[in-house]
Amino acid sequence: MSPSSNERPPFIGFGLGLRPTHYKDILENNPPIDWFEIISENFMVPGGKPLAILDQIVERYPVVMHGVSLSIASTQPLDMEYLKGLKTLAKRTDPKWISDHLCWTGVHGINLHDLLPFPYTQEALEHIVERVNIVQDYLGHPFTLENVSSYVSFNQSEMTEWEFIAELTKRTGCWLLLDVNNVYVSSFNHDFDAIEFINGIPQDRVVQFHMAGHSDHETYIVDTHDAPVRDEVWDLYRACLKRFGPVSTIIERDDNIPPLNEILPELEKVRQIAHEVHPKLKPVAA
Amino acid sequence: MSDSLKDIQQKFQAAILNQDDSILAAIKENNKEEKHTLLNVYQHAYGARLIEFLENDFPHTAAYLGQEAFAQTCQAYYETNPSNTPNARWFGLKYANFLKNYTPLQQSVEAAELATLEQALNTAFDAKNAMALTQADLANLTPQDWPTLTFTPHPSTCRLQMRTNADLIWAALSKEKTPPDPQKLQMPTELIVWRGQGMARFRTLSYDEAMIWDEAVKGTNFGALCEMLGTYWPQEEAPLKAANYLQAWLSSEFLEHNPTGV
Repeated sequence: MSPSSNERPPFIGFGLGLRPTHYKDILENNPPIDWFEIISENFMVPGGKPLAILDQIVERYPVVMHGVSLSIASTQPLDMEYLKGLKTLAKRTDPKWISDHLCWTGVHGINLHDLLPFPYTQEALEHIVERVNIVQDYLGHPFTLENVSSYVSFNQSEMTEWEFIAELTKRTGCWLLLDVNNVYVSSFNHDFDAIEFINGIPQDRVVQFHMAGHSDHETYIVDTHDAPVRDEVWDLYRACLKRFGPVSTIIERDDNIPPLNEILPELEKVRQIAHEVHPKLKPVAA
Repeated sequence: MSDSLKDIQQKFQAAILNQDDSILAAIKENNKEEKHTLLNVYQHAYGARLIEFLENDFPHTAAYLGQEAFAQTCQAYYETNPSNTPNARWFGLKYANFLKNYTPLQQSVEAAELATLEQALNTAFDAKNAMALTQADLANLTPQDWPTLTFTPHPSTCRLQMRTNADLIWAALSKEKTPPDPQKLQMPTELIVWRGQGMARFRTLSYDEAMIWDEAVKGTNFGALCEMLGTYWPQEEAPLKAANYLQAWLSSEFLEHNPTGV
């Protein structure tokens, strides 16, 4: 890795996950959004309109690349063709950082297209540390991993999720994308204290927050990204801001996506709470 | 002896793909819910997500078949063709071909053709970029240049032959109108699919235009294309016909500007 490639990424303010349904509105009206998180795979295509639109977005806004198929925890070999595609896209977008999830998505060449859990063991830690180092070296951009929501946990786990993440960042220097909703969802599903989770995450490694909605099934919660952020997650967001300081944040909606003008007030709330917790926080320069 | 990470992942994947429940022994008891119910969140999400991918790529096929029948085709597809791509965009690449051989739809050839058309439009939509050949590129050619002129198709172009009225079904569904009854045709409809002005499109080709397009793609030169059109039209009219077709191809962006050719 080049010396500068793993420097702490800058604070870039408050943004949204870029979704096709908002393209027209964004390009016509240049809404006051500090930055966009793009789904990397959506733009890993040969050409056409998706890339033409992306080029226009990149001209106007900073972007971060967020992938779903790296499968960093999988026991099958890293997909170097996929990494090559990520690197090509990064050349086009000059992302502030590149992220994916702390999970696996399949083995034996199959992609289950889901963010799957694994036991938090020394074996898994050694395996993932090795792979994170390879990915960081190859991509040459700050590399960030996101905690996922999970619905099952394993008898074999030798440590908590937050202990695992803390050790992983210590040994690899990777950055963290803390999905505040995912912390809440997993804390409910696995009966742990969400505050204990965030207090276990190293203060200096978190460079991004995700805020999203979920579905409550009474005995468990599913991370659906199809609804506004819930009150309990806003409370946790405040706690995260107190622990980690001002952190670049986006709202992530993947289903039931409303028009942009209905999401912007929620983004304003993200911004407002950050300013309440950190009154000296300055707006990000346009 | 406890399972290795590899064992856990193999068993978890088997639970999702084959409803094999041997992974349950490795899953921790939960105070609020049964383990198999929680595992089912993943099992259910798997099928639902893959159906959603296919619905995004084949919206008119889904509307034509109806939700239940479409979901059945999707399930049959992903059970025999699990995704092996990191990008959901490519998961449905074999779906249209799969439908051609899907026994419950053997009598509904138009459904497979509708999916084939949607697949071609999807492929054209994000096909490789290339500069289109324009009238201006040909303006300085001398009369001697024309007979040996050859063409390169734009990477987004694709030729289809429909044995049913699937193109008319597509057109009706795209306007949210009731589709016509399916019909098997005596003579196939010739279609070309391409991306023009950033949009994936298709149009019918007459038999003579289809013939010279297919020849042009193979590298047949303009002089030979004119002669071939002579089998459809009087020899003296053939060059003008060819010129008209070429003009239409240029204005629709069917051809690639090829610095080594034109």
